[in-house]
Amino acid sequence: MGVGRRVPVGAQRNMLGVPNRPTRILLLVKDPWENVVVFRIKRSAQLKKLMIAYCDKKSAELDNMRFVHNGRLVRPNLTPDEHEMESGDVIDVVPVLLG
Amino acid sequence: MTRRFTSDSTSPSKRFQAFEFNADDEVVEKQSTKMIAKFRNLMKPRNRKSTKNKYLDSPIIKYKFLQCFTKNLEKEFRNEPIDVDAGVTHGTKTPQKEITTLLLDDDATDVGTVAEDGGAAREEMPGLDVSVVSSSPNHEKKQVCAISDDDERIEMRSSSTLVSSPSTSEAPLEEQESYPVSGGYEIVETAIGDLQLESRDSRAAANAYKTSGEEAISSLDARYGDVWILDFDFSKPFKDVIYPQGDPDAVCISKRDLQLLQPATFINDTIVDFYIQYLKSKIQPEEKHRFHFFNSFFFRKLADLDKDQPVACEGKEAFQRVLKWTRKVNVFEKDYIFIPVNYRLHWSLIVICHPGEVANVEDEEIESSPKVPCILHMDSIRGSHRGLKNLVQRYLCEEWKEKHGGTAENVSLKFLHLRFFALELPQQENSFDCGLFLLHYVERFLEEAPVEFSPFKKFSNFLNKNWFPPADASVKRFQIKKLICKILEDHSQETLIDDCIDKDPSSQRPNKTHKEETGIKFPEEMPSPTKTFDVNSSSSNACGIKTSLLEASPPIQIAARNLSLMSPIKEVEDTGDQIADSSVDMEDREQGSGSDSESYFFKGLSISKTSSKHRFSKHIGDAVAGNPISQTSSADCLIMENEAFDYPRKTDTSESSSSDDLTACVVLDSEEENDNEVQYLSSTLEDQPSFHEVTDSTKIINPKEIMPLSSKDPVSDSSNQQASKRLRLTLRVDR
Repeated sequence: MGVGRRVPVGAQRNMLGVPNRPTRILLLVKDPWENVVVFRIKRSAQLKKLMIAYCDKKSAELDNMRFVHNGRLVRPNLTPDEHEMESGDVIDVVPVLLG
Repeated sequence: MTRRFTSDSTSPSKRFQAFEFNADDEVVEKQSTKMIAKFRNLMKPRNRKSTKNKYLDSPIIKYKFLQCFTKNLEKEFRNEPIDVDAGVTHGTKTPQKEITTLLLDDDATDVGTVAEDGGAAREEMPGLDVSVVSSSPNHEKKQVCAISDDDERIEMRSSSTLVSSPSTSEAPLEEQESYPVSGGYEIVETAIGDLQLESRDSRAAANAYKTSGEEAISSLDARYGDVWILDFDFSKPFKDVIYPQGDPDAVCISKRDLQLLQPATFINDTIVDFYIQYLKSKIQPEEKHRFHFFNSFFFRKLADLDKDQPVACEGKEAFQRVLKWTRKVNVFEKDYIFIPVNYRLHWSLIVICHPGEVANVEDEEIESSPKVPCILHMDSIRGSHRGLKNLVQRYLCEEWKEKHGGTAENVSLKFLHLRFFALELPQQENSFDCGLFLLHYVERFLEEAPVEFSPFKKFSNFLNKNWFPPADASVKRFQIKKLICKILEDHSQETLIDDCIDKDPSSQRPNKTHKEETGIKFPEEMPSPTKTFDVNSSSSNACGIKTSLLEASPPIQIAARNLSLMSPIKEVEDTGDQIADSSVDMEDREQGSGSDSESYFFKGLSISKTSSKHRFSKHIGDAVAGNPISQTSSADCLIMENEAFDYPRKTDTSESSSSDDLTACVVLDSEEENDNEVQYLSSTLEDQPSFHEVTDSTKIINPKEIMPLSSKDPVSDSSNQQASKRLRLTLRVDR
């Protein structure tokens, strides 16, 4: 019925008492000068949150930044799960390319 | 020019000397003045409104102008015979004049004169004819011959006949149109001659003119078609376009990116990646495996150009940075690899051809082998990007090592000597089209690249200076814009739904700020397991609810502004038939859940799964009055079509039967306002006797904030548990 349904996460254990994967993962956001900011984010949270938080922290404008994970542009309304991100993954921040 | 000379000067001979008009100039001038006159007439009514300058600057006007110019040229040179009679009828009454005009007209060697004559003869009559006649008697003779013999298309009685014989001199014409020449009809008896003057030379010249000028104009015409799209309305809300849908490499185009397609603007990575994705999607499926496209960040990352150091080509290091980019793809199986290069505010393109062949081809036989591995560099400002050679070679070397292990050491070394060609290609003529050239290179290369590429083969018109006219690339700006607008339209329906699923940036911050306003704290944990609370997960645009608690008697009034998606959470007594619905609800809410508070939701979810009877039951007691009771709860956008209104009756009964029932209202704010929807909602709630609710997008209370009230109120908690009311969350989505 729904479109693009996400895998339910959140509880630490599922109905059978089997522990789920950790709800939160660590993501490292690295700028071109190798400065790293670490974020702890839920797997099911949209990455926009991370991006906004990073830009707030760095006083940068979100539109002027690109977040690249393993060669893929990070889309703000996808989640780490959808991007197949694992804990400890590095997200590169690149300023917008113009020319 | 002509006019001034003729009117001012007095001596005929002098005048003639001074009058040296360049025939070609005259044609053009005359045509254009004519056209402009026409054009002005055309535009007159509108001209009053706007200033003239503005008018002429506008591309529409230019387009129309050129169009009308083109048409007329054609008409002038192709279809119509040249009008000779104008001058004759106008000025002269002497028989000699007649001859002169004919002389001028039939001068086959000079097209300009022919075309000109109508205009020129008109003004300079009295002096000119004399001098012409006197100065060129030979000419006359020669001309007569030409008339009778040479030109099949001209048939004419001699000029003398025309003048002397009063009756008629008629020339049979090949073409239907006839132009009466009436000359000197007041002195001599009227002589009417049908003249059609058209010489081969003039025709040829006209064609020549047409090929050079007119074709240029008509090619402009085609280009204007591309340029000419309606101005995109930047004021209206623009949903981000995701293209291609569902692709992991999809590009998200925002309004801001689209603005970069305005003329004379640099384009950014989004546009480049978008268009490359578009080109990729046009490749035949069976061909797709031959190509690989890196996105525009690949090179950036590889070269690590943002550091202050000069380009770092330490092969190993550079490779480590992009190690993961090619985890899922083996570039050595590809025929062509495209790498957009961007630095120093300039775009260029690298194409790696047949990288896999390096292992197979020996250096000696390389010139004869069909597939030659090489690196092509396509730069629209040749020489502006340097130092790419080593970088790419080293990258390929490392990549080969990575993919093939240490066994192929000598092969990987070969990559360091891979041929690198900085191609001479069409160059950009301005400073801002480099990105478009890059895209055009890619497009043309995809169209024309052979299966087996060798730089030693000679291509007729491929990868050289005359590959395409530079203007082709510049027009791409408009083509891309058109394309995006089209995709935007196509996906407008989908984006509506997407909007519900995907968060808007506006949703998070307002909640935060309004939380502080209310001064209510949200407890970290839910005290009672039976209480599940549906949180504002802010997945839709903004969930704003303001609930004011009043006495139970007044009807609910909902004033909603800018809200289209509203759904009440209703308490329904009957639990059995609600299970399916509510479970669906939950799933749907999961989709959009993304905020901090979602843990509560999921907590509720798991609980409700076990208990299955107290789902979404949430009771908030009014701390002060101890009275019922409102619950505000907002949810992610649910794709629950119309379900909110499937059970109006049930809701009513449940509401009326139990005064301590809770009613919750979920308000989802979306950008499209839908009055009907709001009205409908309010009408369903109107007769419910609970309380007064004002929903307003500007006043936002995060449902979290209400939690503490309920948790501090054990009475309402327990009563709610006993009542085992079920909270049902429904949402109507605009279809």
